[in-house]
Amino acid sequence: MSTLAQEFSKGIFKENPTFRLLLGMCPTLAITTTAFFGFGMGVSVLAVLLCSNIVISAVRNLIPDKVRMPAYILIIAAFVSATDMLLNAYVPDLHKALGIFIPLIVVNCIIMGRAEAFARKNNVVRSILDALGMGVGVTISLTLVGIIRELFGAGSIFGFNIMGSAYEPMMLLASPPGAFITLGILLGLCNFAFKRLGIE
Amino acid sequence: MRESGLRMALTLLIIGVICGGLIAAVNGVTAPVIEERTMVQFLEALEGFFPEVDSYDVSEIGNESFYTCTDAAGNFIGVVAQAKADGYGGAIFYDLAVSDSGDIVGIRISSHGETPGIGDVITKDEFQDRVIGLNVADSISAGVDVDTVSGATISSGGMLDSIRRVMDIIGENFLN
Amino acid sequence: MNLLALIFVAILANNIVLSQFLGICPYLGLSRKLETSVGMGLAVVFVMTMSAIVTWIIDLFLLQPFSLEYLRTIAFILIIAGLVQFVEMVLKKTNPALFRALGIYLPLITTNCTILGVAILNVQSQHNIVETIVYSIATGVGFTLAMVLMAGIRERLELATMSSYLKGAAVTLVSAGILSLAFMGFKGMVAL
Repeated sequence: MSTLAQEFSKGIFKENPTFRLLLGMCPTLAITTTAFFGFGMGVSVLAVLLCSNIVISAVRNLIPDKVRMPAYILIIAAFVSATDMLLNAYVPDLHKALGIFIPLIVVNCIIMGRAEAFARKNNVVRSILDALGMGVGVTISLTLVGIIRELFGAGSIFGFNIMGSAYEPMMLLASPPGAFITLGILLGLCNFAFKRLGIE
Repeated sequence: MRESGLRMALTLLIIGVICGGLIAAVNGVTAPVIEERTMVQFLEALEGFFPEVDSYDVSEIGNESFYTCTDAAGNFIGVVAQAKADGYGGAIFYDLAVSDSGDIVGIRISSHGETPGIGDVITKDEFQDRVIGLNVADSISAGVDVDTVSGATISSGGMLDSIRRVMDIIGENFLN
Repeated sequence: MNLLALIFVAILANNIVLSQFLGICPYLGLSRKLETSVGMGLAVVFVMTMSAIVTWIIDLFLLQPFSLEYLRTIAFILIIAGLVQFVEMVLKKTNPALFRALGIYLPLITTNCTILGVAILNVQSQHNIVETIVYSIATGVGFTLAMVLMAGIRERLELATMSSYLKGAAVTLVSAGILSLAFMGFKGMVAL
């Protein structure tokens, strides 16, 4: 049995969904053109993951094993729809930028993966910590990719100009190929860093 | 076996009902907020197109809405259409304002899925300046009468095709 | 937009994987071998087209008339999950050979975001039924093309010497970036 602190911290480093488990790559590539969009997507995933983990672990003994998949899909889809509508009502700019990737959180492997691998076997407290850790891990990763692409692709971070007006933005990093290449290189650097730190 | 089958179906049904209820409840809260914001944004655009507008009348033709605007004295000043064009990344929704003399006086893209840096030129002056000032009697054929923006041929061509169509509807129904 | 342009855009210029970033998980996971990438690609074309047609009909005749658009996400994902189960059952009974070829990919498809993504895109873009079918098939073909190209690259990469930190997903992503750069060239090509 791992301690409660480990339950939280594993999602940030050892089992970071983006850099270690390679889950939820679609939004990681698509919406990280700016740091703010990456952060917004990360928080949306965190919210849905937290809600679905709580509910699924709370009802885990009530759902017959055979129908657990459709049941999880229903629960997750409900929270995703709610998030979609709340974002549209109160943060319209973010909603517009994330677009189709909000409804697609339903099929984000992180959410389903945590439900199947963790929430259905653990109590509510542990599931909450697991969701928080994984969600924070995703948020940090997406924001990091966003910061790099925004810094070099537009010369700013969170909309604040960093590079000065003489900087000529690298369009490549803001474009689709830039997303793949940035993430590929980051992944390589992460592998290197983890190896050096002795975390396997 | 029968009993467990029944239990499975019941469990799913109950979850389904609860989830549906949750979504409906959130929708009840957010739908008015979203609708009000869309309307406020549209009205701001409307006043931008026709600063002297006092009241308007909505009519639906096809799937698109046309707002006939009148000034305080009750004179007809123009039409604003909420229209849809086919772009590169799906549908482009836009507002087109045509004055009583049949000139395009303004255009506003309300949502689009065009590629940032390429197709989204339709939201910028480079494209919009080519459109503003065209008259309902002009022929608006993409690439012939109005240049498309190079590199964004589908986005700008799709817009021009749609504008031509909307202008025809306006010319037929609202201008005499 | 005319259908030819729609096909061109869906397969090449706006490729679902390389420019819209949908279906990245199977793209990274299953593109190691040519055989599996073709199998997955065909399964995607098949399920994508069927689910797009069904969701389109449900949206037009059930969700829109009753103003239930807010149930779209939950309805679509349920339809897709049910459809995948149904296709699996039917294939098993009627066409065992095809089932053996596609069977192992079918369960993976429910959580393949291209399927739900295309269903939503069709409805959002207000495609009619012909456009829906054409767009879905073309998108599936585009997905298969991207998978097959990647498999070809990766079979060669296996033999290349590189830093062990870059092996696997990292170098695949960088290669995908270069591939995506090549596909970007198609963007300026259409003049219809």
